[in-house]
Amino acid sequence: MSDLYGSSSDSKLGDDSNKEKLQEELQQLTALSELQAQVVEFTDVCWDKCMGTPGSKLDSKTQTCMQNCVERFLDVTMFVTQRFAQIVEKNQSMR
Amino acid sequence: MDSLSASQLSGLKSEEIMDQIRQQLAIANAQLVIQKMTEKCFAKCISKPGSSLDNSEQKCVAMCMDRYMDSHSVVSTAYLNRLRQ
Repeated sequence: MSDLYGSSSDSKLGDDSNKEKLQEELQQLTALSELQAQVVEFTDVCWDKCMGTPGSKLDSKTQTCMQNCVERFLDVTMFVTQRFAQIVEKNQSMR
Repeated sequence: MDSLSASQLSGLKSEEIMDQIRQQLAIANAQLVIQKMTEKCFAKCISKPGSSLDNSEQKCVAMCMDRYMDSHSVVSTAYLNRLRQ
């Protein structure tokens, strides 16, 4: 079985030397998975904003709307995050 | 997966474990897409649930699914472009 995956991956899970590499790979997988979940979430939000009656193809108007929707959603995410941080900061400095 | 014991796990090659995880994550993502697609296309195509899923409703759902996948790919591209900036 070992040559099926190449000799470099002959290591077992409990192998300490391999732990770092595995952890890194797991982190990458987690990040990818989060990214995919975000794409699904944005599609959800922007579908409701942009999609009328689904036609035989995605028209350019809807496509532009989807693109703008994603970009503005990200803008709002940044804006809300920053402003929320400012509000918290202000409240703390008043104490 | 449920029947794997710790000792069996430690005997597995790391690459096999990673493949399993990769596969499970892909399945989870597919399930999420299916769930959302069902919700959206049910809302678009089934205004009054009748005694059966009639032909025009099926056609509508099929077309809606295609458009959903298009939208998903537009969103994915737009998001990745933004992340690269």
